[in-house]
Amino acid sequence: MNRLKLISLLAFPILLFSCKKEPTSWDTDWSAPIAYGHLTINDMIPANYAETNGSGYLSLVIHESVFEFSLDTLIKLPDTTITVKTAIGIPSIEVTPSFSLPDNYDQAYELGEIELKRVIIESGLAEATIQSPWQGKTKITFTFPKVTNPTGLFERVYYLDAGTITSPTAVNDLIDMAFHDMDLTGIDGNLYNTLGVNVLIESNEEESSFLVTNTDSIAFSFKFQDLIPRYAKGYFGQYTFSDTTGVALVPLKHIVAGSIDLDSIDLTLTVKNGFNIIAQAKVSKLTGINTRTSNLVDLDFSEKGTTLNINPASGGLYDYVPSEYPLSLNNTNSNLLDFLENLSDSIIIGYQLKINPFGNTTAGSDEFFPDSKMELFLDGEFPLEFGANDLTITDTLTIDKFEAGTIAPRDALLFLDYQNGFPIAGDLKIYLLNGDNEVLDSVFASAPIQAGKYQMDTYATIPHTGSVQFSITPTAFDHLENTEKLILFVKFNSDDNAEVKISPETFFDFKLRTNLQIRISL
Amino acid sequence: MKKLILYFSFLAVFGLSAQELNPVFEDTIFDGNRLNISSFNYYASNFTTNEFLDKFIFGGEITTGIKDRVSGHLGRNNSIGGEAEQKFEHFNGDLFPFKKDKYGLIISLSDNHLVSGNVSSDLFSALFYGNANSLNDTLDFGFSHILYQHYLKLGVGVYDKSTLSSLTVSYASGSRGFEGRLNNTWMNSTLDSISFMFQGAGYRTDSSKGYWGFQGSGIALDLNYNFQFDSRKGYNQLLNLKISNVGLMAWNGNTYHYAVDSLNSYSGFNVNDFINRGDAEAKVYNFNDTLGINSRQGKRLSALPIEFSIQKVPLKHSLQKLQYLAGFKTILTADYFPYFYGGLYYMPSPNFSASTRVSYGGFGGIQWGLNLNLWLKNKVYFSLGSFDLIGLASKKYGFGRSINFSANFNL
Repeated sequence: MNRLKLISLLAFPILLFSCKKEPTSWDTDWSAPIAYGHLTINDMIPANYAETNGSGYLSLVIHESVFEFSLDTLIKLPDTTITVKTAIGIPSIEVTPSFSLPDNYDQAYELGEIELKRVIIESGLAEATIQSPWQGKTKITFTFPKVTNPTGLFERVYYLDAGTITSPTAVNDLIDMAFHDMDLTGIDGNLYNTLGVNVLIESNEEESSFLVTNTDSIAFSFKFQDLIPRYAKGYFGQYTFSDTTGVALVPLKHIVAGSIDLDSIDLTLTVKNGFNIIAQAKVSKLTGINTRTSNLVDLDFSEKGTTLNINPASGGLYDYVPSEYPLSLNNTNSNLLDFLENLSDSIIIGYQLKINPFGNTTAGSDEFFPDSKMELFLDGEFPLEFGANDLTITDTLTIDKFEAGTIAPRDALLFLDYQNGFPIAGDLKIYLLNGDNEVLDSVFASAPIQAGKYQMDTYATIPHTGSVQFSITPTAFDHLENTEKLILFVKFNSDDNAEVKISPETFFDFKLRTNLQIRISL
Repeated sequence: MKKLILYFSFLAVFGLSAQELNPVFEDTIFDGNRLNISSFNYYASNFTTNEFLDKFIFGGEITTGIKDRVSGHLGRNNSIGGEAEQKFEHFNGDLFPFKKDKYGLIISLSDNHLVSGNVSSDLFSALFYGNANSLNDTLDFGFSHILYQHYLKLGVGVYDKSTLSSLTVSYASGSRGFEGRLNNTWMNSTLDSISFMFQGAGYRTDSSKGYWGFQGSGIALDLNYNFQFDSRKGYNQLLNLKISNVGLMAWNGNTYHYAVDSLNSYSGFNVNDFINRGDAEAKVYNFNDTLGINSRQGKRLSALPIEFSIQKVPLKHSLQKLQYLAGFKTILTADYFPYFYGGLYYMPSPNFSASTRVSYGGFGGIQWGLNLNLWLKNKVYFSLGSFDLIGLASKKYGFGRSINFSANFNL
């Protein structure tokens, strides 16, 4: 009876918790700051992309390689195996402890049109394999007389035990070839693509002698694998590369509406040749495509379609200087403004590049230097002087699904108190999308962020002080649980839709705060 | 009926375990064997209505109306607490401690809970309303406190057969405990910032352990002294004095200790710290670190909740059918106010009696109670009552609940 009562008492707590059919919940209202900031142009783009120009306002500057390639794939040394069998030239001989048999070989690489005289290896391996049927201990020394590495002459010594014809003794060795400097002119120095090697076979017995016949051949091989040069000299062959290729300008694909008016832009396209090699280049096509408007603009300039002779780089292995061929483009010698104002989100580039267009005119003195490359380099200055007319940029953000937990927002008012020193107004809309890209809900600003008042004479802007609100309804918060993407639309308009210049002192101050109703559920 | 069962379940778990104030004193001479089973449960508050606590405990939405009714009762001291004690006691008159036949042996086992809390008005307001209506005000959370202890007591003692006065020594097995106290703690909100002064300390035992826990050990001394005297009219009277839980609990080394003393001002994230930076430079905002809470694990020694009571208890074998009763009790926690009560006891027949009482203090305010007593052939005694009938009956006007039950079996 008493035990029954005790069990009953203990059972009550279990009943209690199992009877909680719904969570305890209540609503609270919170006012809290969320974020603040003082944004200048240097907070929006890296400092080395913006500088004050001679007129006292900001320019975007670009110093970037836009297209480049290296020759290392052309002159990559193919995997090659040197395989040699050596035997005495008489029917038999007694090998005494003092016996030695020297030999040497020139091993040629098959490199097609390329004629290399010297290569310094960046990375790669050599696998050595030696087999001996000699019935006594043997010492074999391989010396590469024109190959050096950081420790000196490249030489390998192997010691083999006694073997037989049916069961030869063998040695394997894997060698890291990085930083090996290989002269490929052969033992006599008048060849190319040729590696010379000296072989010395000796008895390794201290006292005893053994008999070797002319059927007792010692076989050895050097298998060079994955050799990549960091320096090469020779004749690299004659090549012509040409292509018409498309380049997507992904950031510009975010522009979905509006236009931009530019004033002046200076660009310098420089063809840089980092090889000691004669080359010719030609830009045959440069077309911008705005896929939104289906509008195409060809960039026209005087050098377009003409063959440009590109000089070789100067200097040597450690002090080479690339040659440069600059092409200056501006709104007076080209239609660059039209090209840029088209807001192209794709560019089609047609080009042709010839290597050694006149053959081996340097007697095999082409040089490939470490990290050298042929590139198209862009130096551009984009003065921040433009007018934006409903220029609308969109971006899609993938977000993790929101799950309401103990604390769930129910209703929120976001207040953005700002001081806009930019002469540009902005209007923000946010759309909530599910996994099927269906719009679930949207959040709008109560009004656009107003532009500061632009002063044409000083380029300065009188900041506009204002506040906008974003209302997030309980329905929107509910939709957050199924939201997988956010699409942001920001529409920009310059002050009075006129061309404005951005001063270095321009800023955007803001404080973001919220009145948030939170439902707490326990 | 279902609700009553639920209430009783709640009380059994969360009510605080304190010594029951005796409803009636039965025997003046007892030398047999007796088994007592008692269940003493209550919780009380001087500000939370039952409708609020019911929602908080059993689930449901705490509406603004419910919160407003609680807010109307907030004052300088807002106490909430309770005790629950489920106890078995065996009085054995056949064993003679100290080799004196005037004494008998008591063996007892009880399961005890105590909750004691005090919430500042501003803390309640912040937790249940938020800060939106308190901009530019300083919300004072200072001296808010919460204490919970759950332990088992296994006691051995001696009682006097003529008065039932007793002295018991108990081993206390700590099941679970936590305590937190805020000192100089406040929050000031403006449109642009929230300043938060956070000063306090506390501990908690490992929450992953089961109901019994066995996370601490302690010792407790319980004194129960009955003093009989005659009134001026010659009627026998009895005064009962209890001092319980005089002892300590040593919680084990897995106990977490917390301390904080920090002043923080939050103005939102500075976007300049996050934009235009590489991953290595990106700042990571850690809210716990910002609050500056220090924690460590280690043993902790804490006092058991000492209880003291003195009461004039009605006698079953009195010549008076109508007797008065009165008493005083206190628990040595900061949240418990001196508890006074007074009332009448009426015994219309030798096997049945009833008493009613009005009380004030403790964790709550004014309460009205009723108790019924029934004897069956001098072998079995049942008692059922509540110290807070209004709380049992009303969600809107009640500020707690109480239910007590005891049964004695003369073996």
